[in-house]
Amino acid sequence: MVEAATTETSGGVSRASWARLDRVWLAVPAVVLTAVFFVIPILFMGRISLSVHESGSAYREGTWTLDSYVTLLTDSFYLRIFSYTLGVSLLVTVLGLALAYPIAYWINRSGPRLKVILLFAVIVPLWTNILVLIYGWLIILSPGGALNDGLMRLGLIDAPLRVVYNTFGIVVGIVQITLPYAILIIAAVLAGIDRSLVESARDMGASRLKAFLHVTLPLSTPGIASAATVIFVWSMGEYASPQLLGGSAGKFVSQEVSSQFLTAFNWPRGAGLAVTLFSLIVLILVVAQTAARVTARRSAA
Amino acid sequence: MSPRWSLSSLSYRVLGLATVIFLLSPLVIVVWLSFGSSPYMAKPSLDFSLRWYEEIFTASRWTGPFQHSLIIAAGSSVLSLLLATPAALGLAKAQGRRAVGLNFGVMVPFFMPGLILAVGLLMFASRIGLSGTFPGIMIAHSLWGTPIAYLAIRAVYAGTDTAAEEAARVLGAGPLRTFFLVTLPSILPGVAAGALFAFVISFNEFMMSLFLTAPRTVTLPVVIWTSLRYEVSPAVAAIASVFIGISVIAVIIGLRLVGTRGLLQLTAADAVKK
Repeated sequence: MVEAATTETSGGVSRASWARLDRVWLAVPAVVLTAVFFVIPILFMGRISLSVHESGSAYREGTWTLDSYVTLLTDSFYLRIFSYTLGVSLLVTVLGLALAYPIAYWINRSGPRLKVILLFAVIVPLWTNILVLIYGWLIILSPGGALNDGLMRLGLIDAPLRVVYNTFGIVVGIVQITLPYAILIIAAVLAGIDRSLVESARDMGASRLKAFLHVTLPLSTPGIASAATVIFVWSMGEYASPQLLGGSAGKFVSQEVSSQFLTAFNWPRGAGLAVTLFSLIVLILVVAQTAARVTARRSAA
Repeated sequence: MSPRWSLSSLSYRVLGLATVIFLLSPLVIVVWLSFGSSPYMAKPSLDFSLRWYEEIFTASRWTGPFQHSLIIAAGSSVLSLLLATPAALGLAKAQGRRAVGLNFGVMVPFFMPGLILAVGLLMFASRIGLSGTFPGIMIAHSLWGTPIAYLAIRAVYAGTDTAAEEAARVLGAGPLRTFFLVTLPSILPGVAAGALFAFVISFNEFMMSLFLTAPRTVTLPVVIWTSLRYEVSPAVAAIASVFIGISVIAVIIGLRLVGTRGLLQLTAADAVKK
């Protein structure tokens, strides 16, 4: 490379080679990182999920079995874990979208100064360690914590509310973590909407609400869909929130993966669970992508 | 007409404000608690003390992991830049099937939950001797750092004009000379923002660190995790406040580097631009 750089001095030659040089190959090192440290580990995980478990050594090399998948499909314990994870993730997605849209709309309609302040308030929690956020919610929601203390002092409640170590706590945690992404995605899409469309709807006599429902909202559906995908996928793989804010109401898939690896030391079953979770997430991403492409094509036509 | 107008414009502001309060309340309460003297986690009080800050900056159980976190974040940020910069230059203005495929190859780990990456790497890293080492965890973090730095640099480079690069080439500069004298200065805000994003991601990352670090490489988030699970010391509130402080500084620098528009687009770009 260096040699070529120093010897190649003639203008005409280098101009031609500059044009001929296919620069997309500069991306190869980054793709190699993905291949070696993401694709190979996933394949490795798939292989281990098909091995025989052996207590004491995690798995027996060179063996083939479908045991871990048979267990996942037949044991109702795992069915419950998957349905709990899916259910909570759906709830979190709906709540997250409902909270994200108004503030995204506000960010988009505000002047430059207020916009910076609002973005600041959204991005700081986004860039804060999720354990710090969860810790904050533990202080607020715990039985003797700030929320219950305040409500009891005001005389609004007599006994502490159960707002943590249950599904509610998990939902608060995951909404807190994913909300900034959803807000920024929706705000970015709203910023790209041509204001003159809304104005002409208003000129033709549509009320502000009607103009919003018939122009702005439909045009922002790509943003809503992307935000929903991000929240849902994140929630499906979330570990810290259910582990620290959840209780005995249910377990997330990731918690079970982790305990199979770190405590039960059953690598084939842990890998089987992880592969299943991974496939679910890939499926969701593919469906979301295809749906986005189809809607884009339909609206273009 | 006008009552409905004021009602609707008021409603999104009120809802928006409620969301801001929701998002910031855990941060406020953590910072408040960190300045108290109470040894319990529960509720913040009104007395003021710096004893927990004194502890986290002197006790080795906190300072060691703090150093590890800084080393790992710096290393992972450099690695991410080395991989992301050429990728962004190669793909920012490219079109066609190959470019789409390579772009997907760079971006895909970004969409994966930490747990999936962590579990995969746990089994693989122990095979190739990277488990528990600094390079191992730096590489793991750059799985997220590279895509985010790539997005930042690509966004800036896509907005530049290639005429200056071509002129440099015509005048006889080699590809490396052209890169360092012409291209790099013009994409510097993107490179700096990319480095910052990669640093912040690595500094905050916890899932891969939990699976992949050993005692001599353990990071601060893992120590917080252990402490939250087994014995909550208010020193955690001081550590947590340090994280919040770093986040505030990083956002200010980020806003300076790429502006509100840039920051908005960058965070949203991966999900929207497909």
